[in-house]
Amino acid sequence: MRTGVLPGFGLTLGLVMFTLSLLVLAPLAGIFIKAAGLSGEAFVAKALNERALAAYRLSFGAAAIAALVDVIAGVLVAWILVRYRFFGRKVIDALVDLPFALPTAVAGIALTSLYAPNGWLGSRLLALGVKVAFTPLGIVVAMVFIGLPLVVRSVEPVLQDIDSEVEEAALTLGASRTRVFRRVILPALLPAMLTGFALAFARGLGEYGSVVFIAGNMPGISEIAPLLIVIQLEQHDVAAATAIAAVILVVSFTLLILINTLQVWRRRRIDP
Amino acid sequence: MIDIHSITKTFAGGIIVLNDVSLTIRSGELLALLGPSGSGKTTLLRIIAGLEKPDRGAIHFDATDATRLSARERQVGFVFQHYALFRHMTVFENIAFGLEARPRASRPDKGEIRRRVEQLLELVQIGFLADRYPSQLSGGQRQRVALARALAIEPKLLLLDEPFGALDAKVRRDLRRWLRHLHDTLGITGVFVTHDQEEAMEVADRVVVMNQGRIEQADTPTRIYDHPASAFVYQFLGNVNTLACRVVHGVVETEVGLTLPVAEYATLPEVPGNLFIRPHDLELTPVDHPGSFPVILEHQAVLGASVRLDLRALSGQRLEAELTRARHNQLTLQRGDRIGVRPLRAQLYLAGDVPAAAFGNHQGREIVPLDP
Repeated sequence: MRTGVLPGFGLTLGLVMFTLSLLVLAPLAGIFIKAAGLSGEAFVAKALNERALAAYRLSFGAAAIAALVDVIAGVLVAWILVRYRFFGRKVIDALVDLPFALPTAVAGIALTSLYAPNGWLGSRLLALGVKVAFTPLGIVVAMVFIGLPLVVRSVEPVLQDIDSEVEEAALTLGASRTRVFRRVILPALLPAMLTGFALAFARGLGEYGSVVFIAGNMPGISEIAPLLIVIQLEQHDVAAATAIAAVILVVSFTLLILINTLQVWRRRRIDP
Repeated sequence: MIDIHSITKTFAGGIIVLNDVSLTIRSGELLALLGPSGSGKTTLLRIIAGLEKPDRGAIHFDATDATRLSARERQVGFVFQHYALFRHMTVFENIAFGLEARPRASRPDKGEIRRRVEQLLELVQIGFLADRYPSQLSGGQRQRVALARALAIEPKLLLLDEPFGALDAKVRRDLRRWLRHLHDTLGITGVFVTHDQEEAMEVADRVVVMNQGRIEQADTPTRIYDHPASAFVYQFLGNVNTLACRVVHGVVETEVGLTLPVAEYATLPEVPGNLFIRPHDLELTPVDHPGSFPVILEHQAVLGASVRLDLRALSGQRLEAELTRARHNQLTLQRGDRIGVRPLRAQLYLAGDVPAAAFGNHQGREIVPLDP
């Protein structure tokens, strides 16, 4: 162990472990303890039935698609904010954080009224045969909205750090603009993009407020897993709710560990 | 041959970085762009590389007009001060980058690329580092990788921006000798930027001294040292004592009490100017020796083969003298001693309205006083 400039490692570690246990580990353990009370058959019936499986597919699928869209859009936004100086840049910079600051219900209402079949955008899209609100597509839209700032803020500092000389070096070596981006900039951004993806994915998966407004909540079609938990709770079936929660927890935890491993592997290649 | 014709470059805010600069770089020579920071030397290098666009002027590579060509099209090797290596690629991949970036028609196959990269690794003497990442290398090793990477595209012209600026003194000296050797082996045309006059003088065939966006002098190191074209060049090449003076009817009068006759200026009534004396051109004499002026020894520092003396004249002006260890040993000097010094050689530059043609003022005038 290396001692830093500031003393008190033991004390701070103790505090960290205490708060972490109290705020994170204890509630999560509670879920498992509660879910463990169920018999195997009951667990399968409550947490792995047709309706629940559809909800998992929708939640994980929509969150993954939304996170992917966020990564692409987020890199673009970060690129423009970092690389260009233009009138109104500060305003855009502030707007990026808006989905963060907004109560999610407000975002949900705003998106729903915009994308509803009689909404300003929804009506036009409907004319093209695309239905957004009250479909899985609407869920993706809401998740993209709330996840975007996470990607932008993950990528931005890394992009700022990329030395313009590295790009110039690639240019003098005869690389085309696309090659410079693909071979020089993208690999440098990849770890940050992965972080952004993981954050946006986690946020989308856990999102409730904005999604329930736009989703339509049709069981088996546009019903997300967190909503299913709420429905079980409203029916006083706490066991079912915790069983579903446990499934979500295990899957998300596995996915996050996977993404983290990928990142560590990428980073090790750059800074061994 | 590279022909740079009246290049002018202004940065945002109206700062003129390069002011009507013209220069011809001969094939096969190693040229140094020397100047203080802000003299425009790096900007000139970047303009040659195509990384910066001039406001006015033209650049020709042999017969082709390269002014409008992008950095990519110029096929010029560029080595950056801070190496600018690709951090996520191994040394091997870094060096291979330029070859792999070639359009398919002229791209060598995989085996050929491997062979060429290995050759380059051998050339820069870092074959054993091929599979390392840049973060695992020392500064000197990184600079060698950067050089090999630039050489991989077989450039006709190699540009180096302060190539040894970020290295410590010992590595720096080794690496610059090695660069000179490499240049002689490859016969490539090279231009490097430096603010270190010793480095420029030691390595380059020709030195271009720049100041405030202009070229002060472009010549061989020896000629620049012996015949500096301006007061700036004289001052920039090594340490110098500057004495404000007046020339009155053919006699240079200084505030430290030194007077020197210059017969050529006998017709001038009274003109201000500056007298430059190199530290090693100051000879120590007994006090009141004819032709000398008195000083007080404030500090002496032994620097290997020579000794530097910090002196203070009676007027309060500080001067520096340098003498050999052997001479210093003969003298047994003490701090606070009163001694005399006399210039063996001095350079006079007149200020103000002097007909330059008649008196060769811009070039300055060398004065070699006789020992009376």
